[in-house]
Amino acid sequence: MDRLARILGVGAGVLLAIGLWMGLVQAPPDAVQGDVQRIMYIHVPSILTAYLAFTVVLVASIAYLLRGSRGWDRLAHASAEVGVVFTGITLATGSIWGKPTWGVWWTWDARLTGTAVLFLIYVGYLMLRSVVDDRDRAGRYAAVVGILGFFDIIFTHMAVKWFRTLHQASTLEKGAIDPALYLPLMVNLGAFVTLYIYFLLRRVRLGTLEEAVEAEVLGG
Amino acid sequence: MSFLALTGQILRKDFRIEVRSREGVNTLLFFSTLLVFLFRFAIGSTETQVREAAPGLLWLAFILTGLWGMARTFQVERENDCLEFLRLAPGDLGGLYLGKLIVGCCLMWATELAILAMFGLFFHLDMWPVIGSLIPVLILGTVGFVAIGTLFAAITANLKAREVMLPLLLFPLMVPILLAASRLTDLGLAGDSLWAEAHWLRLLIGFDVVFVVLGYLTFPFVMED
Amino acid sequence: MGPWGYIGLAYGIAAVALGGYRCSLGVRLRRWRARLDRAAAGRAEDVP
Repeated sequence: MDRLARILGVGAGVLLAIGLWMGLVQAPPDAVQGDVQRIMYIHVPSILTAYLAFTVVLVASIAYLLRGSRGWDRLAHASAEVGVVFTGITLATGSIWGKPTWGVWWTWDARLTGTAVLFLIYVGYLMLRSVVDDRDRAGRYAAVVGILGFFDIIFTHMAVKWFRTLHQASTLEKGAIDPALYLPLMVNLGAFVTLYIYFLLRRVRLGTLEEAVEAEVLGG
Repeated sequence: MSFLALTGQILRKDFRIEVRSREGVNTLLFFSTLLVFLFRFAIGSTETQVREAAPGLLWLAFILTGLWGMARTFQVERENDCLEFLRLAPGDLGGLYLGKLIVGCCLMWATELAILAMFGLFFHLDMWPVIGSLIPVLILGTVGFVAIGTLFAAITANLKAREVMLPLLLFPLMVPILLAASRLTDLGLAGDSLWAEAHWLRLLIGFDVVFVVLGYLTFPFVMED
Repeated sequence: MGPWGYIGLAYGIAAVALGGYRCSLGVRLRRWRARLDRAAAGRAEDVP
């Protein structure tokens, strides 16, 4: 597991370097937005990776409630933490992209608002874990929040979309993007997903260590 | 004992407690009166300002009083060490959830009607002609709120930091309800048909169904010890 | 601020966040490994 993580870590680093070069140098500037649009190469991969992370939280949470094995709980916890990091990056880069495009750092745009809610839900999830001492109980409580939070996000996205929207259509929707911009985006997405798996493995390892120490102290 | 029998028992028990002590309704009423007063001072004095802010403020008032109402449903059980015994109740614990859900909804609806009346009084809004279109919104919005609120109240009842954790967990999940219900309330207050924006109605109904089912399914894991 | 200023800011923040998280994981892993070693050593001493 440690070796796999190391390989993935190196792989993520290489992919990120290639993606950085493609996004900043090789890709042509956007026809409408100019160079600023290059922020997309980290903004879009990080939100997609965050969605992946929270989907893993959902699956691991359901599995933990049904099976009760600690491994699923550690996976859910790890994925939520990494997902929050990527959501934070999405919010920060989105806000920075918004300033030259819309003229303000923050706007009550549907996706921006939806992503902020996503961030708050999973920060709450992590805080809940930190205030419950008993691991099994923390796992069960957090699993419930993880499952409800995921479904809530679907409704939130619908609601904020009708509420108000300024955001450009989703980048990956058909025809929205030129092939010359598509490849760098995909490379960056690959880099982010690899990085996510690397972080996930490390974080799960950390959870295992924490529980091993607890077992040593209590059992010894 | 089937799960509905457990639901019935919880209903009977909680309503009896409420009828005898009237603690829930009394404090909720007083708290909501204070809120409506403060809102009126906070938003300025012109009638158009009041009318524009009313739907959002109304739902904010419901959610703030509801937060306290939710926290209370499980705190009474915890204070009297009843949680341990409820946990041992024979049958499906989902029935306990449904019971608490119904009790919570009834308490909320009663408070909401009182808040509506106070809004009518203090904000000079004529509620009688529009009450027919507001009631479906109250019903739908409240079920979704209480469905999640009951579950999270059960989770936080045992925590030391429960006063902070409940709103922290609950409020972000309430965004769809707050948006949908205040938009529909706005339509209702204007005297328009709710079907003019049926997508909001469908969203509320979908939300209620999804979260009542999820709450019913996950509640037993929250009570497990 | 020109477009490259915004790009630099966005990429910079992303780099700090990802790098920072990686470091935090590294530090925590090391700390818990040390704790595990100490706990195991402590138990070995207890048992004659």
